[in-house]
Amino acid sequence: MLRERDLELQGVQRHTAAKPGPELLTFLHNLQRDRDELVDMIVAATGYSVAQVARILDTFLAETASGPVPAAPEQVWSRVLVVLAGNTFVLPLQVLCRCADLPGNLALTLKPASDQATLVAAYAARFPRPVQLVADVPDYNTYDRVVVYGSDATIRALSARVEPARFVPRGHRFAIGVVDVSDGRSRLLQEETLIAAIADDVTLFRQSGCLSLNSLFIGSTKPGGSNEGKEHKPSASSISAAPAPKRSEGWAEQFCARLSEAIAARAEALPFEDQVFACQRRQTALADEQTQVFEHVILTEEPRYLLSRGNLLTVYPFADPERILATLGPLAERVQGIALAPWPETVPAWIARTSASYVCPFGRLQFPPLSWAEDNEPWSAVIGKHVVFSHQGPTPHIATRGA
Amino acid sequence: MTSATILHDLEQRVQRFIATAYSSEGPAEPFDTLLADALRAQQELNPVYQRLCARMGGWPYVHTDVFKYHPVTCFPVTADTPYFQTSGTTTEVRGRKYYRADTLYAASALTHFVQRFAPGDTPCFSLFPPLPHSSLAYMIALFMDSARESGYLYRLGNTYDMAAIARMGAIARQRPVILFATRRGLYDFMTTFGSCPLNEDSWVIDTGGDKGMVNPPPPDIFEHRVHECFGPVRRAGEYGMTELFSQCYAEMDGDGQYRWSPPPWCRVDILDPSTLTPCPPGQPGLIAFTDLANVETAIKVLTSDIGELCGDGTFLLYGRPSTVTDRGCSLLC
Repeated sequence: MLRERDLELQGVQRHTAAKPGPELLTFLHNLQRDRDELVDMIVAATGYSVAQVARILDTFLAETASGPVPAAPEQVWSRVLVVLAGNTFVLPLQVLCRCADLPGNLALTLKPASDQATLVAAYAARFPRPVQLVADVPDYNTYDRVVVYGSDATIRALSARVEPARFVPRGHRFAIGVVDVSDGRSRLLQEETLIAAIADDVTLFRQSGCLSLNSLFIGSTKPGGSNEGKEHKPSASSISAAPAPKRSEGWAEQFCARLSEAIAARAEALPFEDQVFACQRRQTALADEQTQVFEHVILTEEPRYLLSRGNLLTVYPFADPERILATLGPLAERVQGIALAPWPETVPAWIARTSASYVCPFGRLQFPPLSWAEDNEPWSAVIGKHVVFSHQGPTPHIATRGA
Repeated sequence: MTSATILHDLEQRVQRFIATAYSSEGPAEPFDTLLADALRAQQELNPVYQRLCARMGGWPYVHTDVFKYHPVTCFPVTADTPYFQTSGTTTEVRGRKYYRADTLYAASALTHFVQRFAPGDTPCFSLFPPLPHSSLAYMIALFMDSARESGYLYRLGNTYDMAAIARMGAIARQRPVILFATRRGLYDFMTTFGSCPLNEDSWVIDTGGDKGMVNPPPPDIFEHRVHECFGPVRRAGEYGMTELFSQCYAEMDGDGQYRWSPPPWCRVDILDPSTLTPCPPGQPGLIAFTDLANVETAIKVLTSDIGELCGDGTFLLYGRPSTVTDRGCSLLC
């Protein structure tokens, strides 16, 4: 069985084995100490339920305390600005955690979205180092590094105001899931834990972020599919059969129905804009001859809205990995995370043809380790200066003329 | 009756409805009678609507996005079938509205326009160029064709027609004109020319379209700029879309707000996005149209535009939520 560490060794993920340092542990302790107060503040700022916020925050604190942290560079830039434009409530925590225990005199400045200003101030007050909060930035080029988390429109707007050498854009990305039913693995589909894990990856952050699951691919990664599967009609071709079979027939429909129920059980009331998008997707799917629409799941053969939200998951069949890539098309360059089931014995080769920087089992998509190299760029490269110190030794003999 | 006969008969009835809608006797037949017959025909003749009816029950609305993926028609579409196409970016899938003839479109657009603005022989100018497959360009061309004098002030290829602008200026010093433009086109014109006084009985009608403006000015600032440039002209807005054959118009009220109203052959409902049930006046929801002029395609069309009923037959338009590709991204989710 492949471990996540093996993925790192194979270059798919770049974890480090570093453990949390004293500043990070202090920060996590402070957050844990004031957990109830913070939960209330987050609920007020986001409209999420207390239970949902508590679940996310508790998991984040536990995972961060035990997980690997980014390797600390030998030197960091002195003045770093992080623009937090319209992100989820955990992002500022992640940024602060990554800035703990860094060497040198890092002067960290955060520019939060206006509706998160109070919340980010509360986080910063619990951080062991001083953090400056700003509402406006007269000149972005006074910072050594400007890291911008925001929409593509925000990235476009700021790219005109920040010199390219200082600019670290973090624009729109999304996550997909792949369930491989070849080699008799179709029994996985009967497991409640898998369905629950997928539903969590969909609903925890209301499908509003780059690691939220929007699209699920179910099929066989091996030519010919599964022998066991054939008994239960789990091959991709049964999913793609048109017109689709009745709901009572075939595991794919049953699976989608159960997944839909699981998502509905976890889903919270969506913001108005997300309801609009969910409606848009559902109506489009309903009009399609090839699709089946469950309450929260669309079973379809044709790609529709890979970059959408609103607790509506699109399920695509596939007969081989090439089909996944074909469905993604140019959006393969926007994939941030991939969840896999079952966890593979070797790294699937097709993943290297996407831009994914985080590959994990279902249920872990929303909680990447701090050492995650987002956008394939390690945090140490974002915030660290890369200076090569020459080793001490005799001065090399430099030829006076070429050979 | 064959499908062609059914459709032809319904088109004739809608045509009569439009022709008589503003008469003192009222429309030739009740809206609901015509609607019921048209919906039954669409269920029979339009495969997409048939599927929606079967899956959703009742008489569902067809979302504008469906037009991106399926030909929503009651007639077979061939390579030669004319169509209007939605605007969009190059990577975006565009919606198409196929039609066989423009008779109903012309009847709907012209009848409503004449009723609202009584243009008579008022010269008509456009800052929107004659783009192919654009329903907006087609509508403006209809109005310009019906005017005695007309001209495009903006050419394909991104250049102003200075001679046409001078001609409009000369005419507008003597008598009123009607000027059509998207808000962006209007803004660019005002920025470029600064001042272009028009007769105060002139209409400056914007057709929406903030898209592409980096920093669209707030409505009050925009109106101030319009009057700075054109003088104390009359202002109105036009709200239409490729998927519909009817348009809504609004004149600006004292608060600088547009209250939109459709023509009598088109009804507007506001629907809750989660349940698709009607919202009462004052509650925002999705704008949905029941447009009899769409008898060849889909009479009931659901949009992603947000609006609110005012209770007096008009509605407010709040625009569309930011697109999915514009939304933010976070590190952890």
